[in-house]
Amino acid sequence: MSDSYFPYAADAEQRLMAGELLVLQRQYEREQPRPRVQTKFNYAWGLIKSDSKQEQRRGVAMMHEIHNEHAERRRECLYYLSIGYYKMGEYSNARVYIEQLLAVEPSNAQAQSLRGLIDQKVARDGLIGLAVSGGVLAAVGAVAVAILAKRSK
Amino acid sequence: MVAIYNYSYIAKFIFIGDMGSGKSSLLRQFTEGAFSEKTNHTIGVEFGTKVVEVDGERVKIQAWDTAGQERFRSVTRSYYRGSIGTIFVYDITNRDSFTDLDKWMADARQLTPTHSIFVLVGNKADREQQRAVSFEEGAAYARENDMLFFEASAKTGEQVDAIFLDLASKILALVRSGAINAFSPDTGVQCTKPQDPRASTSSAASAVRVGSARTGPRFSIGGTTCC
Repeated sequence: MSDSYFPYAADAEQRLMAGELLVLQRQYEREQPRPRVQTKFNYAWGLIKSDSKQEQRRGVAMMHEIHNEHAERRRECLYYLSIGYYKMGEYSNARVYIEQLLAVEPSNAQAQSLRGLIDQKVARDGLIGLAVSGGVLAAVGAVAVAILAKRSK
Repeated sequence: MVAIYNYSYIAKFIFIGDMGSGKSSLLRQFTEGAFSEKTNHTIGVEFGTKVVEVDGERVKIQAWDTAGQERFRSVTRSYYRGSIGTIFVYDITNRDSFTDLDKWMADARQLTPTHSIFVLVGNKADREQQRAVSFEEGAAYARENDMLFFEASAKTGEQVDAIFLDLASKILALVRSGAINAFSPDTGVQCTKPQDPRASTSSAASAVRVGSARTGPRFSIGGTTCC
């Protein structure tokens, strides 16, 4: 990375301090059986920021509910759904939701930045996959290159 | 020791203020030298960084840009902690963004370290025709709350670098005077240079004190001779 950049989707990496998630959870539980959407959103956000896959998954599920029920919160739900799937390593889902946000806000630099992170991960995982099945692919690639080279002559 | 950083200090700043006041635009102008009329409201929080040179030192500024919308208020609160520079932004053409400063001030006083330096920025200074808050009012608010004060324009770039450079310079002065310990975690400024061994014992002790903030003094005086 260069010395100067902005924006960067740091929400994908920053963790909450122990206790902060608990505060959000308690608020959510206090407001049962009908928690305010703001309370639910805060808790879902906190869960998505967790390092635990299980908590991330719960957060994503809650974020989906808010997304379905509250049209006015659509943009932030799409953003955090993408972050949630990104953190869970489900990059194709992560891309689906960030693309939905970018369809509405094509010039949103924050969304572009997150899509960049997703693309990087996909490219890296792709390279690892290549390395694993490297032998086969290298052979196929060599043949393809040879054919292309012949054609361009 | 081999230098692995191209800067000597890392300083954490946070941007707060009403939505539409131009926090993201100021940060974009500072980091990228660019401005766009059409922007989207920030979702949650964003992050930007840039290395600047002040008083002969290279300082890496890490700036957290928070969403101004009320719906993100509880989400953004977790980013206040450990910021050495707290930048309050209002829009000089929007009176409400100025009167709301008290609300942001209450959050900042509660959540930032006690030594955090507060800066007040009246943005959109290029729009003199629509001005709704006078320069004097802004300056008075800053004086009453012990803040640095700037009127700036994210659009033209006027005074934008000055916000960051003056703040970084003030922080450096506090570190050099020993008022802030740049080897302690949680102070919001960190020295990346190797620590002077003559000072290591005493500053290790003060780092422990600052670390347990509730029981010890927030400032560690003396202790480090680095930087």
